[in-house]
Amino acid sequence: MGADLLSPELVGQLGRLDLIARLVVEGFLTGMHKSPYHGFSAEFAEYRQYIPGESTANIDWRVYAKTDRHYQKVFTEETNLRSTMLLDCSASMDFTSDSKRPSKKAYAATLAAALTYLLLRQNDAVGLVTFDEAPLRRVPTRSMRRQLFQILKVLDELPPGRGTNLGEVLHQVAGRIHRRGLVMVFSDLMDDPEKVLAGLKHFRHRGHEVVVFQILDPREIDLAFSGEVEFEALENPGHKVRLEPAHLAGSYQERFAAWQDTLRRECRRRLIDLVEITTETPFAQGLGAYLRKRRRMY
Amino acid sequence: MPLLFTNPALLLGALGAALPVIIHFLSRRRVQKQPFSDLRFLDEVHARQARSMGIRRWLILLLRVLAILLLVLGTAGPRWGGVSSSFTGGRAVLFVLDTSASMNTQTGDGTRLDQAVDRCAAMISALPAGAWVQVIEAGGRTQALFGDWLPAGPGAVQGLEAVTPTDGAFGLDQVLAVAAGQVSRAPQAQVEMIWLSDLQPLTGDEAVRRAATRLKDSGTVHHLLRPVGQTAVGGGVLGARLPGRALQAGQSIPLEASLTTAFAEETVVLEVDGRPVAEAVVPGVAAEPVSVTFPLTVPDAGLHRGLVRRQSDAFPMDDSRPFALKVAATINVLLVHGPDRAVDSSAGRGGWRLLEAALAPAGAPGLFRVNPVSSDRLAEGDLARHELVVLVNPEPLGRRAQEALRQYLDLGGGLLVLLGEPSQAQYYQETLLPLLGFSGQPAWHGDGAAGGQEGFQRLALTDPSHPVFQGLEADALGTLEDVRWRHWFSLAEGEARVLLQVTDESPLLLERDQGQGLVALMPTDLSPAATDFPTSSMALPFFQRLGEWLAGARALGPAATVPVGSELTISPLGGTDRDDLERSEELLVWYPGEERARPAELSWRGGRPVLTGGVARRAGFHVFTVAGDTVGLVAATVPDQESETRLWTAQRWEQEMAAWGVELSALLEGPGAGDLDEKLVGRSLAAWFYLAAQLVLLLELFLARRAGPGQASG
Repeated sequence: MGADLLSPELVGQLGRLDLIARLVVEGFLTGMHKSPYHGFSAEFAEYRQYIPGESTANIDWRVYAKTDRHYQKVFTEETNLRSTMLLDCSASMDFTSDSKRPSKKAYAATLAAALTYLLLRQNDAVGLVTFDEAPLRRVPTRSMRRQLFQILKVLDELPPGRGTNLGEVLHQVAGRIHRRGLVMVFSDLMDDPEKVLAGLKHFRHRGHEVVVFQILDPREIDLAFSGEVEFEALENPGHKVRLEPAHLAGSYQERFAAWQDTLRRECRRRLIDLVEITTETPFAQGLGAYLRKRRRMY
Repeated sequence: MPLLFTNPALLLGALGAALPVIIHFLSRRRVQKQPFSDLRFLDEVHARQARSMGIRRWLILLLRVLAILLLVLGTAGPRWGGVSSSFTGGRAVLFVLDTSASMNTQTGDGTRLDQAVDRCAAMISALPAGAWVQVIEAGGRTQALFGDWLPAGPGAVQGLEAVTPTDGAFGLDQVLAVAAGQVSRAPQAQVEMIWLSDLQPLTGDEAVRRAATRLKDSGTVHHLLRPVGQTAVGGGVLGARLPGRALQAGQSIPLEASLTTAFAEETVVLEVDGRPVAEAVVPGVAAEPVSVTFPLTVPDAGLHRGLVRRQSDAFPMDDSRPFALKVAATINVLLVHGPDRAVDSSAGRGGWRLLEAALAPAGAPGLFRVNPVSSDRLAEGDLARHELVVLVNPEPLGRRAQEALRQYLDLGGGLLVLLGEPSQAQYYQETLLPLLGFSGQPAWHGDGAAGGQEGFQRLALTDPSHPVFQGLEADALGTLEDVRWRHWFSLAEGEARVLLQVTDESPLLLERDQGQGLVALMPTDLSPAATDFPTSSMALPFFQRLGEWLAGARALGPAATVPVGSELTISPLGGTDRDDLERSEELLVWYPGEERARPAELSWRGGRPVLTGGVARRAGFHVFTVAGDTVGLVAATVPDQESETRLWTAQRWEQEMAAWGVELSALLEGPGAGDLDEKLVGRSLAAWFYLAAQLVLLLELFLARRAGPGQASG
């Protein structure tokens, strides 16, 4: 099954997250012509004289061209990439405008599961932190086989969300991750942009590479509702706005786009990868964004 | 002019305008509840645009209501500017078809009347079911075409075939009177009266105003005018005028014709009894009436048919104008004088013998045959047998004589009166002068001396162009002014015309109309003590001319020239025996163009026989016969106003009619009946309403689209 065919709607019907993760990743890899993962975790140590009879695979031909002697690379140690996934479980992530589509939280969980599978398959270490207005659960970063099941178990049991305090949570989590690695944030970023960006900046400050998967519902972007609608805030029950979205869609879209532009611009300035996806976006796009980031790192 | 609807019941559809309102409020109740991730942006835009969105929403609602209302109004058949206020009930349309002479003018394939009938038929055909129609023929004969109002349809259209042209004039008062009768019998309270005419000039007087008032009182009438065939122009003979005096065989007289021409260098011919006797050429084209004078030698005594003829054009009816010519063999004069007294000279009382000698000189057979009679012997019936009556210083007349004199004048007789006795001043003032139409107190002027030159004053002519003096040489007029006078009554001229006066400007010969006749009054007499006129060489020609003028001007005689539409009335030729008239069962009148004669009626007026033969319907000669002998001739002419060169414009017609109290509601134009409905029930505004509805819907669509798909579909 190709990655393009594995739509979020279909994935949502599969139910089992482990199966989903495997299908997503295998389908994704099958669709690629050449694996980009070869030698990712090898670390160069020194050069030594080539002895005839040894494999020629590690001969450094550039050195040969300069010195007219055969040297081969010696890898002293193979290390794992340390990845930490931060999953936003606030109430706003429970939103879906269409019952056939996964909620933002479900989408984020699926994407996180797929990435976990992919990382562990490459012997990278991966961990998970869930949070809403405070950190909820944490799975320490490891590269063991059973790490997959630890993480999937947490993802399967995500609690109903509460409010959001994204900026503060990012600061807290950043303070607890001591070894440098890759930080992947799964959130709608529905919070004060300055605080959110300050939290992300904290990760960068500590030497982490950061990829932010901003997951949105399509209707959050275009507000395409018909008739008169009474909106109620998921994170603030009782806060309601009654209006005809058709009248206000244009202005809403302008403001929403301005907000996203701010996030986009500030992330770029801080060398943070912002991956904007909706719950309609195929998971391959999220995986692809991770791989691009991985390639730049090594 | 209110906005009216042909189908007002459909206006109930306006209730449908409530639908958008209902839908609007129902849709507001169906509020979809939607949990949402974050309301920060919604709070912002809602706060800023809520008010403008609300206004726009109400505007859209208003536009939808308006669009439905416009569609409903358009469907109900809105009309504006019509004269009628009723669409639901039947309509009563009264057509006035001008059948006067000018409607015989050729235009294109037919006459103006043909066009008028065609358009009338088209209008009747265009009337909706339930309409009622009546047609008035308005020409030489004014009458309703149908016995009663007919339903509009093929029957009424077929009935128009009975419309016949006439040679007469358009009688406005008669039309209005007939219309008043028809309106009062109309099946609808409101009547549309459509005039189809070429708009020849209308004449009218107080009778027209009264008829217009009667028409207004008879019901609600809207007048619409449809001019017909106003493009054809041409010339016509407008009149043929003989000298206004009795004619004598062999005299050379001028005959003056008034005409307009349509062609260059037209030859105009004068015919008498079917033979051309003179002709004249009119230079250029005379669009305005010009006068042509023919020299005419008066034919033998009797009745003669005269005709002035020009080149025929599109309206041939007025291109030849008939006139009747009576040449008298003798003019019978009744000379009534006061009985002679011892003091009177051989000239008789007041010089009546001198006057008799002037009119009928002894030994010379002339035109006048004078029958003198003393005023105290005046018998009943004496006046009726004479064409001219002369009173010279009469004694006071009895009541019967006075009544006979009044009747004589009413029948158009000529009367010469000489009053020169101061002793009768009171009688003159109180009885005779008022009887003759004069007023004022006559003041005697004279010293009473019988001889000498003292107190004489010379005559002076005040109007040498008067028929009495017309044609006289200057020498003759000078001789007349050499006549002197010494005795006269000074009399205020009042409404009379002065022909002669003495040097102190006291009138010495006055003339005025009285009844249908003419009275010439000399407030003096011809006694030698009063004047030396009898000795003047001008005495004979003056009195003969005066006698011819008085006898021939207006008296009802055997010949007459009248416009079509007039009563045919004559007094038979002199010599017709009374018994023959009363015994004869063959009193007939022969109409032009008809092979069978119609009976004439005999009556007696003032002792004079009078024959009437109905109303002249056609232009031409009408001949009265008694037992096969011609006793009268009436030439009927096309009325002057029927000449096409004097047609009015619609604006002029409207102004004149308004002056008589007939207000025009609308002017119908166009080739057919196309604008009749528009004028009657107004211009249809349905298309405009539909267009406005479309524009409103487009605007609504624009606003709704800007508002978003939710509104557009709601």
